[in-house]
Amino acid sequence: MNRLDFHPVLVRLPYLLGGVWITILIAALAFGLGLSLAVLLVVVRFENRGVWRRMSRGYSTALTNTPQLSQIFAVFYCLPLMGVMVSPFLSVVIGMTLNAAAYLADILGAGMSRVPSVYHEVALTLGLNRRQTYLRVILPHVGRTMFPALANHFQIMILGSAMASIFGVEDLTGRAYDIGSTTFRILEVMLVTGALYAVLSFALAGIFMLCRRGLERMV
Amino acid sequence: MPYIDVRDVCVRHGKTETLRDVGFTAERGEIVSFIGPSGSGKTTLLRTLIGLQSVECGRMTVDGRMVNMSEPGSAKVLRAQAAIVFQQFGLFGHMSVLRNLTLAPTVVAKRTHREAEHEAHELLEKLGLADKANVLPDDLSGGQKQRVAIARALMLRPALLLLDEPTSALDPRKVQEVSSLLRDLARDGMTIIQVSHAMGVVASLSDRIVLLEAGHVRALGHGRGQASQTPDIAAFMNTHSDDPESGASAGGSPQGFREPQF
Repeated sequence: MNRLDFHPVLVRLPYLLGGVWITILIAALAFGLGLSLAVLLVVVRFENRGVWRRMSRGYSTALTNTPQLSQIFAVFYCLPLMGVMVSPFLSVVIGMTLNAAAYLADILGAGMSRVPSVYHEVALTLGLNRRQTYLRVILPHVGRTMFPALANHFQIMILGSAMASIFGVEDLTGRAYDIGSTTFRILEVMLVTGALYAVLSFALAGIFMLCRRGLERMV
Repeated sequence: MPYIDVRDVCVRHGKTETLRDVGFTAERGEIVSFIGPSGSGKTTLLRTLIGLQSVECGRMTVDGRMVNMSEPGSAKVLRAQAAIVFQQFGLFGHMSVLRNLTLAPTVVAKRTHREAEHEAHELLEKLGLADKANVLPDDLSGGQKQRVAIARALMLRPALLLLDEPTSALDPRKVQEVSSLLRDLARDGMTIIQVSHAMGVVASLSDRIVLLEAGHVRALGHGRGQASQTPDIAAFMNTHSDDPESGASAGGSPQGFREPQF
């Protein structure tokens, strides 16, 4: 077996690091859009009975019990069949958004069920309407209490965004494959890429911890 | 015509009749206390007065304006004139004390932040909480939370203030301060209705006392030293003056319940 040689990988490090931004962009877009969709799903779940609530729950059940990769493939191939041409990058973002919404709706739902029931009555007697109650009272409370779980899911999405490489997106993993195929130093490039994911993940954990402390101080 | 005239309130939970033909009156600036054993419907009655409880029948006249409490939409009318302090306080845990106080005035009443914050600081000062404005509710003691909840209700400038056990979490000195505040508010024309087990406070603070039993009014009487003139009320207050929640000791007066001097 040949010795490990990192030199061909390290000289291409700036190119590899460029993929970090694509990885962050994919995860951030999918998380932001997924969170917005999750808020809608969870409000529907808590404000409605019957078919709307069942549809919201069914959505989460369906998407949390099937592989995310299948979901991205479905978006990647189905949208063109419907006449909508989207780039691989956008297909991945949409696929990950749909998946994130299902998980985030469950996280927010768990937070909603922990909101003290008296909050709704207090909000009513203070004169807040439903929209104001959600925007000013319920969702900020849920966001604060569920922040660790939400932050954790974002980190999972950063790692999960590696699937974008399968669709030809030049994220961190995509660029790693690219370097590996030209240098034939697959193991070395994957070790370096793994280390970069770990650094990214630790950095995010640190940022989220600071955010959490900030949230606790922010009154 | 009384300022507040509540008549024929009926509330049903399934087959159980929680309130039956309940009625009472109050003049502007009076303090009315609901007393009675647990499960007698005191809190339910308080909730009907602010439209949180659906009622089968009942009407309420406030300052000559009649509200049919069983009609849809009546809750909004009731809430427009009243504020309530819940027994569990219901302070929003993710907001500072100051934001808890200014939320409704700025978001609902559209008052400016500066004006609302000025009023909130004044109220907090009056309630001995001047240094707690930027604190989260979780960092407050039970008594402090209770006073913040009262301050939040007062920020709505209600004509009718409803209080569910307003002194239950307070130490004797704070009971005196809150009672004194309630008296001042009543003197300024606010009508106050409270549910309380603190017989000493009820006796000294109330202009009227309503004794509820099994969902109906057992007796109507007067406070401020006259509680003993209504036998049922005097008997109830005597038997409950040893209650650790009552805020009064049994040996304070010949009637058993002590009437604190504020």
